[in-house]
Amino acid sequence: MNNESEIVMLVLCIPVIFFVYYFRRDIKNLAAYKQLLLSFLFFFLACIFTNIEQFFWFSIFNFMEHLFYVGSSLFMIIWAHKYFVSERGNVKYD
Amino acid sequence: MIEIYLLDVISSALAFIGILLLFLEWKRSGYRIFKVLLIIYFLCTLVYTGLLFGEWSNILPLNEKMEDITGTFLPLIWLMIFYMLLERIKINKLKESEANWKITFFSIGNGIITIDADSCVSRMNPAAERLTGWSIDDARGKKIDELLHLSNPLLKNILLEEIVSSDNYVRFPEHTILISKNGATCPISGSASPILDSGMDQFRGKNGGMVISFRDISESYRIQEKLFKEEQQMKLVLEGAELGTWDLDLKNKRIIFNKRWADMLGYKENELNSLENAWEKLTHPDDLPMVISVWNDHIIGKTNRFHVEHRMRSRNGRWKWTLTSGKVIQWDENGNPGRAAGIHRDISLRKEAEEKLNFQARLLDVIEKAIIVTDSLGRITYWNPYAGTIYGWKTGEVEGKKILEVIKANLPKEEEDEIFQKISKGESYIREFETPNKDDTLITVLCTITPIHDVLKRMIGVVAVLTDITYRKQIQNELKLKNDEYVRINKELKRSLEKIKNINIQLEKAKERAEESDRLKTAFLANLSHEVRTPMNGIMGFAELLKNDDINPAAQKKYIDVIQQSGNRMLKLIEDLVDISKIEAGAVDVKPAKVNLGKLLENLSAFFKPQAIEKGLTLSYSNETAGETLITDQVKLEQILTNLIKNALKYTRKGKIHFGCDIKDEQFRFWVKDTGIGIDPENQRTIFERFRKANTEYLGSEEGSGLGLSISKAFIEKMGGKIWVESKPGKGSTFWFTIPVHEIRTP
Repeated sequence: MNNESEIVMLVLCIPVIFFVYYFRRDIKNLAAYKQLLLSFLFFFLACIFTNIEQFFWFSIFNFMEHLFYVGSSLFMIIWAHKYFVSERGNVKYD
Repeated sequence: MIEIYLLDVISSALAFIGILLLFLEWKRSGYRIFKVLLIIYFLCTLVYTGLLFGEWSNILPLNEKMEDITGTFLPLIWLMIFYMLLERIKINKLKESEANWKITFFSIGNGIITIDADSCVSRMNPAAERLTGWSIDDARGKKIDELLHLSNPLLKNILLEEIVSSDNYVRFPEHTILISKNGATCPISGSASPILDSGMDQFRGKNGGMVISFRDISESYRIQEKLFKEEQQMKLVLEGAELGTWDLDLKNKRIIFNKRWADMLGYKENELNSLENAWEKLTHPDDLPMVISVWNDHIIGKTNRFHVEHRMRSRNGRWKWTLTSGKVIQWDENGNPGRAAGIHRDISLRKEAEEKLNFQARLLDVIEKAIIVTDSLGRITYWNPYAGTIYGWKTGEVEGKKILEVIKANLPKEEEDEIFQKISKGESYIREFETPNKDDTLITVLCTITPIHDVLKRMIGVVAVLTDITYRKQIQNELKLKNDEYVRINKELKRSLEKIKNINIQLEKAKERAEESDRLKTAFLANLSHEVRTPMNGIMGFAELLKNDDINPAAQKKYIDVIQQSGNRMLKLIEDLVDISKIEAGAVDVKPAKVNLGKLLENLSAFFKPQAIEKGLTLSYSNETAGETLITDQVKLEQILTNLIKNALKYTRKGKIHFGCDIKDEQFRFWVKDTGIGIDPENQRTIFERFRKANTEYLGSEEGSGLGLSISKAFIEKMGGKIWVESKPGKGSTFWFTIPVHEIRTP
């Protein structure tokens, strides 16, 4: 059985994706925006995997889910560091 | 499951590190609310991993629902993150925009004043402060008419009324002069516009206020004035330089000419500007392809300028040479020429001058004289072809060289100095000299050097004109030689002519002499026949008488004496004839011998004494050379003296006869002086000639052959002396003769 919260998470991610797509040009002006988007992408994939694992290959997708959470957290830290550094020194990052 | 746990531990650790990082960053940068959101995000992650409250937690193992709840928050937090970040971007943009606006507002050179709906000043920038003399602090809240003082109060009222009452754009009239608070004035241009709403797409209307923008146009005024002056100057220059102008709009195919351009061709300005394709129509058909080619080269960028000389037809049909120059001054966005402009100049006179110059240049090329031009330093700047012909060098070989290095005249230093002095005085110098050409062959040239001066009378060089006179000199030399030869021949001919003349004269004289001689000989022969017949008659007559038997002895003796005298006379005549024949034959010999002069004179005196006494004459002699010995032919000397004394006795009827000898000028001088009948001057010149007796008629019956004096003269001349006579008719004569002293010895 699927956990309802995991489905809700996945559903809630959809508007975020639309939001990001809609404001993609503005987001590109952010410092280190690639790390931020990667972080969100990993988070979104983790949400997908946690729902798929309920149907087949539980162990693999469960592992992938947790692995992508790690990745999402890692990129989020990197982005946060770079963003605030840029805020401090007005450094522009790709 | 261990791997999942490990991954969750890592996730939790990373979330923890994130939180730590944000705390560390807390004071370093702003935007703390966002940091709080991120901290929440990391906390949710921490919870969601289950390490704190979830499946892996030993602390609160029963709160697994917490994990699910936090999981549903995470997408929302993500949404908030993105939203806040975008808001942050907008705020930053606004800040940046505001900063830019402030920079613009405060930095712009135009004065900007904003007024509210009540026409009170709300903002003004530093430029407006500087121009009005008001500070923003003083001006804020004041009515605009208190700030803007214009030189024309009426204008100010109208303008301000319009500004405060209008909802539209209001432009300041031209020549608006602003008077600042401190009284300074400056021309301004400006406008007032209603303030737009925040959407920048509609007017707020007068209730929204107005923004007044104005600027100091003093510099513009100066520039305009300068431009106006420059334009005027340009007009004057164009008029002074007689330049026409053209302005070609290539897009609309329209060309505008100025008045001068039209004047050049005799057209009116409007006539030409309304003529379609005027340029092509007026350009000479032969020149048109060339003009088009030059134009095409320019518009495709091959040349920087369009510059061409061509002929154009004037209104009266005559062709005029014109210089058209210009360039494309505007290009469209596709790189095609849009507009071109330039000048147009009548160069007919210049072309004529060029033609003349070309003609003169061609003359210089064909003239058979070497023409060499140098600069002031003597370096060759022009060398015409004939100079190359006579010297062998071509133009390129000698240009820039010193003329004296090329034309070596080998003149003496003094003459070179003279040349330089003459040229420096502005005079020409002409001289012939020999100079070697390129092959070292000597040629003779006639060189004329003339200085060239510029308009300031400064010498800028010389022109040397050289004529090759080698052949002429050769001919002259040959002619001179021939002339010399002719002169010599002429002299010789003259001499020959002189000789011939002399010969003729001599012949004439000889002829005269011969005739005279003939005449004298005839007279001589007549005289001789008389001289022979007279004694012969005596001899014959008295010999006949002696045949008579009855002749007494005294008479007989007398007759014999007469016969004897006649015989002596004939003998003397024969001797004279023998002598003269010897003289004529050149067979007279002088036989030198010692002559005792004293003895000689004494003997002669003794010999002729009786005859003198018989005629009643006194005969005397003087011997100043007594004791002197003369070396000469004694026989001939005695014969001479005898002859002279005989003549004296013959022609002296009374008086005396004196003869003698002395030494004068190292010569023995003899004389025989008588008081006889004398000889007239005419006969004195001829009595020494042969067969001549002085005054034959005068001598009358006096006996004599007339050979005595000529024989004496011939003898004296043979002995180296000379004879002459001094005589006066009726007074007597003195015959002188000299004999050179060859040797004088004292006994």
